[in-house]
Amino acid sequence: MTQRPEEKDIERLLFQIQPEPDDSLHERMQSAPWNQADTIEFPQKSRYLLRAAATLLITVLLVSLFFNTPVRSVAQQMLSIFFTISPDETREHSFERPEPTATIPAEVIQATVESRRPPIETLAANAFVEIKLPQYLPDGYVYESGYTDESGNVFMTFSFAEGDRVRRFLNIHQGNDVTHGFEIGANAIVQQVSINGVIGEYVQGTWMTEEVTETDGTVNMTTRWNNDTELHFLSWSLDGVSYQIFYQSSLYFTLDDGLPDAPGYLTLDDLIAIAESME
Amino acid sequence: MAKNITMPDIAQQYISKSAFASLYEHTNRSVYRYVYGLIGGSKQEVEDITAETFLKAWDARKRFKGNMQQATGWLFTIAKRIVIDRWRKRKVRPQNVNLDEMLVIADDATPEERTTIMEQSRVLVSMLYDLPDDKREIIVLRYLLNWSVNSIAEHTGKKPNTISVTIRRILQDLRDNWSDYQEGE
Repeated sequence: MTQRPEEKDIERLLFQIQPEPDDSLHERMQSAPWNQADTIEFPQKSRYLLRAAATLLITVLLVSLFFNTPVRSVAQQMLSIFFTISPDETREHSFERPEPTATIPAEVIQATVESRRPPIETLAANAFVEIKLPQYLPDGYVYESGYTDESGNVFMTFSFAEGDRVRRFLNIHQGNDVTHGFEIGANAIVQQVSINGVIGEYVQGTWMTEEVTETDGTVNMTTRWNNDTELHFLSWSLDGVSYQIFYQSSLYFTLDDGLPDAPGYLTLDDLIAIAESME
Repeated sequence: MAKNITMPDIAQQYISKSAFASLYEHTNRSVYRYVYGLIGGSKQEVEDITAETFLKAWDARKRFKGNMQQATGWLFTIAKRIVIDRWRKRKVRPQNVNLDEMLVIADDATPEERTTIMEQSRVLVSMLYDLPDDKREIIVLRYLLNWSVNSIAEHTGKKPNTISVTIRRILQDLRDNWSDYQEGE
């Protein structure tokens, strides 16, 4: 029979109890879902484009290193699955602003607003594809509005309100052709990302317009692609359905405005988390 | 020239496979020890519950966001729920415990010292599993997992002072009841 230990001895004994899992646990967990290889699924168009992109990748990179913006644009066009790359960073056009001829009645505006707030069930019923909903939404975001277009594509908006001043929006688009003709600037940076193992594309930036009204009433508009704006978005495709997730706010902040710390601001990681939670 | 895009220092999410695999690498030993501390079952049972804990966590990963400490606490909560579901009506007792495998004894300990530690540990483990579940959990977190009092307080939702006092009282009780258990061996 051993001597009764004191409290400090009991503490020392407790610290010495250190059970360890056997290799059998680790061997068993080798077949766990997170250790399985990803199955990458591409729609037919994406597979074709990816093969073409892979073949041309080295050539394009070399070319884009030595030539100017339009050539880089061509290179991006070949590399991007989901976006149409504009040949330029800027677009300019002029028009004469028409005089307002009528005031839209308040009830028409109200009816329009109301029509933009159908329940998600209605959107799903009108969609041409089986829509997916995010199972994860960052704190504070709630469903705000949505609609289904004539092609059966579904557009949903979730919003986050920071007091009365700033509103932030998460837009989720899904359908057969939500990415069709979506144009980004020649200087936009397309980044490949993985969404549950499926390759998607991420772009930060948007077209920003400067408007100058001449004395003769002509309005000159210059639209320039800006990579440093708050707006950013993801696109991917799965089982023949294309998806886009946009984040933007009611103000045109840039990345120098302390955005990462702003309430409701969504990062690329947030967008991927939302995308991966859609089911 | 494009400006650098600075991503905020957000809490880690364990949604991707690689991130979850890393979480498993960092926490499997802690979860195993925690489960062992809760049920004192056979190695196979402890391993089963540890594995089930990670599989359930994988299914629920999209709902969790936090740092590594919070992730460990989250895994413990899942493990505890499994244990409660499976073991609610079953008295926890150490079964087939091989103390040789789980005791860390100094290499320079003499054979006599080694024997004493083994005997004392056998008594201690027996006493440990007679503690109420909440007290045993605190002891497991403090000693088997080497958590700080503040971390235990955060995980259990109690005040640090309460945790300190509880630990002190448990140690006193273990000491005071030692002889009874030794005679019962």
